[in-house]
Amino acid sequence: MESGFVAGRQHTSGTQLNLFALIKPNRNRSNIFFVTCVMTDAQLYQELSALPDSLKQEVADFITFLKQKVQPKEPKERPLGLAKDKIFIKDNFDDPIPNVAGDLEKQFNELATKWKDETRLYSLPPKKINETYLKIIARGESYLPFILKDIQRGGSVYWHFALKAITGNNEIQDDFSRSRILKDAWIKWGKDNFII
Amino acid sequence: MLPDSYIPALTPQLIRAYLPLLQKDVNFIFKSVQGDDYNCVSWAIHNDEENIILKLPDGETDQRLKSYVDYYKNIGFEETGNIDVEQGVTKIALYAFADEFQHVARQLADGRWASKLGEWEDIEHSTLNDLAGNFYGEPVIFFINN
Repeated sequence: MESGFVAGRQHTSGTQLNLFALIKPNRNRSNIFFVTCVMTDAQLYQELSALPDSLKQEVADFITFLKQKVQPKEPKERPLGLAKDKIFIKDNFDDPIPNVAGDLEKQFNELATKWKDETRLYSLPPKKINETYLKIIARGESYLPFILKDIQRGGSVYWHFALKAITGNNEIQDDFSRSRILKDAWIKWGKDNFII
Repeated sequence: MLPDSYIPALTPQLIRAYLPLLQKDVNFIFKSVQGDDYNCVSWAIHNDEENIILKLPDGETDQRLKSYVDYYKNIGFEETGNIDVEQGVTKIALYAFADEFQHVARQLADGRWASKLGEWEDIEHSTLNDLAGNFYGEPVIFFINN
């Protein structure tokens, strides 16, 4: 039997060995055989003696390896303070976790109120689109639920342009003549898309 | 009919900021809740069921004064220079900045005026000048409908 490598683990003072015998030198995993054998020291010596000189040298090398492996390592002393000034606790560590969604809605309400105050006197749609309105549109989908909820509460039909811009939905026509119909269409869209 | 407890959405602060002359009219009153079911164009002809918004051929909103003049002419109004109260007729006044339509008010039987203020409430005010200024411009054309 040709053999290129032998590995093993000693369990009890040389009386029991689990041996891995790698038959071919290419170390193809499919060629690993797992052999469990229990031998006395005399049997081990007998087996060793029967090996050709080249394999005896390998066994000797492996024994050297085993001796190194079982030698206890001296624990290295870990220097203290390596992370000094790299880890710190912010002053507001104990503060309540911010209500991100609540803050977002508060920002929206402030902008929406400002927009309403600035444009609600107008009767024609183009005048509803001012700088504040564009800021609301710029916040994109994060404001979508709040706009739709505002419409649900009776808010302005002129959210229509913002909703179109944010959602890309052009299926709802720019027909402001019956505002209730237009609002209902957006509320239905919001529900169908699980936004409200 | 507004309930006595109604608190106008158009606050005194907003009136002071946008319609300062209205603030001086001690007789102006709110006549409806706020809303966007109808606008000043429709309210001028007693229509409180729809927004009347004129459109250009390309679908954009038509804001030209001329277009609103034509609209009211087409439904039976005639231009007039007399805004004195006359029984049995409807008179309206169109506000504009240059050639851009802004607002329209309707005269009441007692000589006061009715206006739907955008999406805010509709109101009754004493004079056309109450709404004049930087927001609605000036009343520039008057119509009568016999």
